[in-house]
Amino acid sequence: MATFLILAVVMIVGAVGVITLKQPVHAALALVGTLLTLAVTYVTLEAHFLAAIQVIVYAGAIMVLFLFVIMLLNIQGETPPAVLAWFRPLAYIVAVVAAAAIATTAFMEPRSLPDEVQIATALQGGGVEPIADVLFSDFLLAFQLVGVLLLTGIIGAVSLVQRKVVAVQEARADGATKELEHA
Amino acid sequence: MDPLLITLAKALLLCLTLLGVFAYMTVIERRILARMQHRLGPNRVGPFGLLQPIADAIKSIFKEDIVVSAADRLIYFLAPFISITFALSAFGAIPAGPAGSLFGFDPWIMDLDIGLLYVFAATSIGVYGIFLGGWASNSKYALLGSLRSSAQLISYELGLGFSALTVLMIAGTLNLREIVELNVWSVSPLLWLPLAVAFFTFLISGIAEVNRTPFDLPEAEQEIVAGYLTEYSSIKWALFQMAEYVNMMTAAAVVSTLFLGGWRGPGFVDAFIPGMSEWPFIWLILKMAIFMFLFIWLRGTLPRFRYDQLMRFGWVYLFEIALGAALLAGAVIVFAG
Amino acid sequence: MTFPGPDINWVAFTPPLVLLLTAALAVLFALYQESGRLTAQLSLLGLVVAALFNLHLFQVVRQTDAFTSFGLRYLADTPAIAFNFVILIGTVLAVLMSYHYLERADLDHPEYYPLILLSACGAMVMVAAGDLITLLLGLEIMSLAVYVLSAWRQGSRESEEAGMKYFLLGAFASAFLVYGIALLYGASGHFVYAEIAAVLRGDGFDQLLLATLGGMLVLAGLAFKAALAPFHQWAPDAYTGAPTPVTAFMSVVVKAAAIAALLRIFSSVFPDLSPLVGQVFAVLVALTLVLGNLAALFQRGVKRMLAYSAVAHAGYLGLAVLAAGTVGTRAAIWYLTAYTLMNVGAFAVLSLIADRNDRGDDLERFAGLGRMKPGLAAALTVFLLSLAGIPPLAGFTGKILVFQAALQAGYVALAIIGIVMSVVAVVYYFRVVAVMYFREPEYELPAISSWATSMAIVVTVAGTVLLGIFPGWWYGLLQAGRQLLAGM
Repeated sequence: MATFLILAVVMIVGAVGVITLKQPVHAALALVGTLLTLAVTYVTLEAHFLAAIQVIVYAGAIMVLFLFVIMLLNIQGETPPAVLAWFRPLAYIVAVVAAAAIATTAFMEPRSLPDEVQIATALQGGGVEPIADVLFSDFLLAFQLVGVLLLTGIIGAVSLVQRKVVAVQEARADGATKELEHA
Repeated sequence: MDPLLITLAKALLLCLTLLGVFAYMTVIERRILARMQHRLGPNRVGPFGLLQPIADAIKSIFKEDIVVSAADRLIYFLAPFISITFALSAFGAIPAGPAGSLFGFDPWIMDLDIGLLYVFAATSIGVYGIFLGGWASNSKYALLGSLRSSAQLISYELGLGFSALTVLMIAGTLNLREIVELNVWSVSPLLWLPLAVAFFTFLISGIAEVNRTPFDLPEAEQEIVAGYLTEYSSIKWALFQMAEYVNMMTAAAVVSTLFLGGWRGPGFVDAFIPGMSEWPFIWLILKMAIFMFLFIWLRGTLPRFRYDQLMRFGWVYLFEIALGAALLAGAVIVFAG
Repeated sequence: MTFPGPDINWVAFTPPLVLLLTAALAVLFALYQESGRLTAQLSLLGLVVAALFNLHLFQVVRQTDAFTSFGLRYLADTPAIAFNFVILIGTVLAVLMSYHYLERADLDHPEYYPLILLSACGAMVMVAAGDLITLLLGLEIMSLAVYVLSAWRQGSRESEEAGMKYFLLGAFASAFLVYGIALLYGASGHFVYAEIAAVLRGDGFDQLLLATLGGMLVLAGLAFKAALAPFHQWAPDAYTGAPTPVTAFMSVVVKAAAIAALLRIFSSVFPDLSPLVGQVFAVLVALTLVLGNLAALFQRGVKRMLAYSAVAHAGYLGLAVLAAGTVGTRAAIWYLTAYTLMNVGAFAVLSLIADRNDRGDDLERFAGLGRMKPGLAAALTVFLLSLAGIPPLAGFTGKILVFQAALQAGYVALAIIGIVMSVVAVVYYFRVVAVMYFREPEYELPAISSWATSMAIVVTVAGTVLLGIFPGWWYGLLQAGRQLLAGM
């Protein structure tokens, strides 16, 4: 319990950091911290496979790409001019109400954990096999659909990005941007 | 004895060993490179230059630590430590001998069911060290270096992962100890082809992952000074160097463990001394030494890739070949296994 | 190693599967093909084949009474098949509209048609989803393709804004949905609707508040996709900024899929949650009806007016959703069929009147259209009258059906709001008709001819009129077979 509380505090601090830190790289790092803490939480729950995947996929791949984009675009921590002045307080109110609703629910309907034996049978050591069993039986459809989703994403991304190349080439034919393009 | 205490003691021992080996690897590398280039290399400090690492260590510690004034302080300081911490911890899942062979203890720190994934996870966090170090230095060369490194690492992780997949499918486990005990080559001769292909793709991806020549673009000195290392000096610079060498050793150990039987020796040596192939440490160290020599040899031989070549090679050839090997292995397991 | 394989009924999957395969083929095709025409023809072929398989599936379902796959995770029941038909019609019409449009607008990139097909495939999955995970994935497949398509006109600020806004808000809405799914799972321990409902109904269930909170969040996520107020903010901008065929596609297919998902959830999980969920949804529907119609009243651009009208129509569909489980499902499908025909038709006419960059859709441009292009003007009149709900066109019967459903479900006040707002709607639809026939022409219209778009217009006019005159035929088909949706 003490471990969980410590991890929870670290996670919340990280999450708050993501939305409050001005410098985008710092915010992204706070998110990395949150994700890593979540992975540690998985380890304390004996879900080792999930923890490793959490680190490899989220912290190791997705967040690196986030940072990559931030660095590539050289985004600095500038506050954009407030277009709608009432928007920020409204957002705070909505967030506080939502958090309060969830907290109330959690405290009003506390739930006892299933007993240790039940948890242990369900986890089976938290390795690959129990997850694979579920993934390729109960969630086979979902598993395949994720493939379709990724295919869609790839086609979409390529179709939007490839366009730019065409435009650049056209521009080069005009002699407008001759020197700088050597990619 | 408290098992946690034993684990901690073993971890400490491993860290010290790795750092000690790192110190001597630098000398060995410089000597071998020198030989390849018809030079002498460092041979002044101590016999054959054997005390050179101590001199280097003293120098690194007492040299003035120059901090870039426009750097992002916290991250600039943190980056080398991230690098070395995760480099060291990645090694922990690798078994070095049969159970109970380290004075009655097990010669590994963790026996994880997800061993290989753990190694991947630790190294993938290690990237942040290079990445953030380059960014925090607030210098264009450093930033270019770190952008290159992150793009390269992500690209080659695919080839690495799919090559490992071939082994995993054959072994049916992620546990490195079990993979060694099984010996993937003994499963079926039909699987030799995909395994051999996967071995080479894994080795190449591994070299790219540890930023060694010909994949050392993140620190290509002719183009971007020293890449992410440009603005680092003294002990922080040494920490990055340490991480790089430890990563090399991890890569060598993982290749050996996955493809070459890990801590086991070849079977024929049992004919000379019975049980010799089961000796702990020696075989793993020998295999690692071969790969370390290979890394140095490559550095002395090959020119560096150009950046577009690097990307094309990773995405268009290596990834597809590794994927093909994995598919072939899968097909063999399903239809002939 | 063998796994206990789930039961897979491949027949149930054929329609989305055919679309997926066609999309994959079309992508490969696009590698060697500069022009999109062949890809478009291939896509049309795939859509027709999918429709044939859907027909076959319909026959099978009629005989076997109920058809599931992967346990109860994929439900190919009569409503799902009917929705599939609606989606297929919408997609075919969108492809026909795009056929010449893309070349004219210089947007002819080969990935366009595969994305449309993938989006339709996702919509079909969403319609047939019997569990929350499948629902989420179908929704994401559908949305991801549409995000890209709405930003198809790169370099145009409106289109890029449309894509960006839709994407960011869509991701936000998905987060709501995922959170809701997590809470529902936390409360019940299941993803499949039927199993969640069983747990909710079971004895000793004491997590009602948690489940209700989850239900609310799921509702918010789906309401976003259906463009129900106050989650409709993205819709006018996305609809206006996207290329017109894409607007037509998203205004019908995305809406159909979202409404289908709402219908399923409202007939399985939500009845056992706190009645608060239904009340909240009723408020959303009322808001949508009022805001959509009033906002449409003040629009100058016809495309933007149609965008707000699409929001308003989501409100009418919401009336049917409130009666889900009884007559609501059939009413909703009927309404959507009619809406698909008339709405796509209206956008098709619009694409022939506006210039190649979709500029110039303001009301003045339609002045004197009745004299200059009598055919187009007549078709647009049919669509607008049908959208306004004037008998004997399809829109009229649809409105009758949804109002009837709402009344039967006991939402009298909502039905009255709906009727009042339909009267308001007549004003803005008639304004366009009046301008077309009673004002002198002010602009030179571009001479655009496209047999494909004309074909789409002819089909939609015929459909709108015939469906209005013979409403019973389609309604009769909807009653065939067992509906897993309603009584599990």
